[in-house]
Amino acid sequence: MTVVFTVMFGLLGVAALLAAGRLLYGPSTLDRIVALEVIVALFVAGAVTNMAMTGRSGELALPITVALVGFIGSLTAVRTIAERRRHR
Amino acid sequence: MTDVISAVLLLSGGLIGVAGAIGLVRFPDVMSRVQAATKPQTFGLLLILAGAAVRLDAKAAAGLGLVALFQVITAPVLAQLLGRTAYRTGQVANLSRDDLDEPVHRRVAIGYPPQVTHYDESAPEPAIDDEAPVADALDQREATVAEPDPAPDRVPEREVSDVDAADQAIPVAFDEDDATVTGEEWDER
Repeated sequence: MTVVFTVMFGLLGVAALLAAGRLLYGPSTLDRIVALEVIVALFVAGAVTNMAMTGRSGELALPITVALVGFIGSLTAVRTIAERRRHR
Repeated sequence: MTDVISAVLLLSGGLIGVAGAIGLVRFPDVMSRVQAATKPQTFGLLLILAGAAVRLDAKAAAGLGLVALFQVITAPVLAQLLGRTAYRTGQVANLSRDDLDEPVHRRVAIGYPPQVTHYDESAPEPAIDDEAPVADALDQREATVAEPDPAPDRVPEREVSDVDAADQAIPVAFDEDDATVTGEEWDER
C-alpha cells in the first residue's frame, strides 16, 4: 500500500506540474484560471490521499475549505474578466 | 480486499488527473482546455474520494461525501462561466459551427454593439452581410435605434484602448452612448 501512495503522490505531482506550466505560459487569463482550478482540485485530491494514507480523519476540514475557497476565487476572477468591458 | 479496492480507485483517479493535465497543456484554446480540466475536477476527484472513503471510518467518509457533493455542484458552474467568458471575449477558435453567430450579428444589424468583442485585433472581423434577410426584416428598427455614424473618421482623434479599437473595427457604426450602457439597459430598450 505504501507503493500505491507513493505512485499516487507522484501522479498528482506530475499533473500539478503540467497545470503549473499552463499557468505560467498562459497565454490568456482564462487559461491561467483553468489551470488554477485544476491545481486546486489536485490539491484537494492530495489532501484526501494523505488522509487515506495516515488514517487521520481530523484533517477533513482542509479539503472542504480549499474546495470552497478555490471555487469562490475562480468565480470572482472569471466575473472580473466578464465585466471588464462594461466598466471601462 | 479493502486495500485492493482502495488502490484501484486511487490510482484511477490519479491517472485521470494526469490525463486532464496533459489535455490542459496540449489543447489549443480555452474551451477545449476547460473541457479537459473538468475531468480531474469531477470524475478524478470522485474516484480518489471513494478510494479514501473505503479506508476511513464512516464519519470521515460522510465528510468526504460532502467534498464530493460540493465539487460536483461547483465544477460545472465554473466551466460554464469560463466558456461563456471565452466566447464573449472572442477567445474561441476551431468552432465547426457557432449557434450564437446569428443572434450576435442580429445585434449588429439593428445597431447594437455585439456582445462578442474580438480579443485579438489581428483576428479576422466577422463578416456582416447587410443584404441578409435578418437585416431586411429589421430595417425599421435600425432606423429608429441607430443613426448612421461616420465612426471611422473619428477613430484617430482620441485615445483608443484595445477594446475600443476592437469595437471601432466592427464595420456597422453605432451610437457613442450606446457603447457604454450596461446589458440590463439594453434589455429595457
